[in-house]
Amino acid sequence: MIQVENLVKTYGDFTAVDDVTFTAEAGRVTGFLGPNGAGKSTTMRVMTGLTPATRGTATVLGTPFDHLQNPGRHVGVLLDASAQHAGRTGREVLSLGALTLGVGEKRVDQMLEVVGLTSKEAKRRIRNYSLGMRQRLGLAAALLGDPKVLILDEPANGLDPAGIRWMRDLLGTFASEGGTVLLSSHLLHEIERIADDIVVIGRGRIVASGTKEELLRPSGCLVRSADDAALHRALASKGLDVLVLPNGGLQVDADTTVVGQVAAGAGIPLVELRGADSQGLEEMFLTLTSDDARQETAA
Amino acid sequence: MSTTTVNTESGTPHVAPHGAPRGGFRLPTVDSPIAPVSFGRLVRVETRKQVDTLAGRWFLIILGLIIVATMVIMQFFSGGDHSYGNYLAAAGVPLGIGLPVLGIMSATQEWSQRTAMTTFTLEPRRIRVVWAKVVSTVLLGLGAVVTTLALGAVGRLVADLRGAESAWAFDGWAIAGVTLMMVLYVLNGLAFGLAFLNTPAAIVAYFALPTLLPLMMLVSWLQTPYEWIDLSMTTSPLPMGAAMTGEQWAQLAVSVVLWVGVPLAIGVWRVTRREVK
Repeated sequence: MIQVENLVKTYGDFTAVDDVTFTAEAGRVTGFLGPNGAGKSTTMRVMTGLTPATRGTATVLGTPFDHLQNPGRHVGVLLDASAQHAGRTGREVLSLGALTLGVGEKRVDQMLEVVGLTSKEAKRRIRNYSLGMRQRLGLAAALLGDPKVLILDEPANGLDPAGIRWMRDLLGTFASEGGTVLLSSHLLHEIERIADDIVVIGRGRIVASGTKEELLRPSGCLVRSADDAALHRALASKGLDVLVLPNGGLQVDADTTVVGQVAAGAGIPLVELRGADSQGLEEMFLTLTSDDARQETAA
Repeated sequence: MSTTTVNTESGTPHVAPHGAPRGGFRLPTVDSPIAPVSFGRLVRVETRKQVDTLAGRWFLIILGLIIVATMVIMQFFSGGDHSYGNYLAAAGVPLGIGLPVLGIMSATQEWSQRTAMTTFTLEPRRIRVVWAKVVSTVLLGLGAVVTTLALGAVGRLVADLRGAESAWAFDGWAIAGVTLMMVLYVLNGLAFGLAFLNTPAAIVAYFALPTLLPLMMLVSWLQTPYEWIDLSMTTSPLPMGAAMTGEQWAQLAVSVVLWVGVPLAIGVWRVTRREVK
């Protein structure tokens, strides 16, 4: 289990992680979702003792990471698959890990097999590895110590579709055996398919968290009108929560009757009004983070 | 509870029907109990990391070849008729210049190649890793000295075969002095690496600062301090084999504090606090 409580990390005036609280439960895959620069990696580095927190706490298995005895036997960490010495062979990286953990060289062969790296590939220098191979090697390193917790930053990056499917199966197995998995991604589709729980972060703040089912439950309604800005003001003046959808239109936390009445009262012709359907995680993600995400101009 | 029920009631959502984990994977387990990471293992890992990269290995091979070349060159002067100590001294020059670079790299590569991320997640008590690097660097220095003793002996043996007549003049104190000097040099390199945490900066500083120091000799009132702080000066009596005076030991101690102690302290401070990205 991973617990993060009121975590704050500031760099000078910039707040990278702003009062983040969430829990990744054992036996479940928790997806940590957010646009680039949202604070995912910083949060994960604080969890693993690589970055000191400004305030707040992060514990793994009930203990601060740097208090764990032989942490690699408890927690498998893959934060950056490219953070390896280019002149070392893949196998050597695992051997060094096994030596540190005290798990023996046989474990290296087992993990190479689990992640699907051949012994020939393992003898090559990492500079000759594709990103996908580095991710596989990184996962092998994370699994070396037979940990109970996995903390993985963008592990699907660089994997081909077959590799992504393979990783999903691997992490599913790991969680089904009682392990805790926390993985970050901006690959929304991937998170939607693999995660049981989802934590969405934007500009350092948690903007949504819960089980996948909770987060995907439809709510409110979608409305488009001749003048969305005026409608937005009218709805807001009635105290209703309104989100501007990135591809036009508004999402309102109220049922269609109320929205129709407000629009009629304000004299704004509607173009479309319907109850929100079960939005995909992608739409939810874009909706929730549209205020926070770096503005991308869709020309 | 029925005896045939297999973990379907544990409440965890991913529990698969018994015997068939989701995705068909079986993750092998580790049966050995979890023991703390011992310092000995850290030293083994850090020692191995200094020589297991392509760069590290070639560096040692080339250094070895240069020493061999030095031994060959010695054969061309005075028909190779030099004392064993002279052979050692000749071999010690490339070693003293080259070996500290391995110490520098041991510290800086963690950051330039970003392996610190792995190193410090496996051992979050970073100070232990620093001490493991100190021990591994000393071990590497000692290993290099032993190799040099052997290569020097080979050089002198070749000279004997060619009819060298002078004595070997095997001097235990000189060998101890060379050993101490080499250990101090590699620690000097490691300490600079730890203080700078950047390969080019550490290497430039390591080689440039000592060559600039003799400029102090040009200023009259700096001449005495110079004798106390130039490590190459203060270590120069070590390979001579002659007993060093109290003042010489004091000068050695002061220069070691300056060139090893201070950068090591800065390095420990930086490594234990620096954010790993």
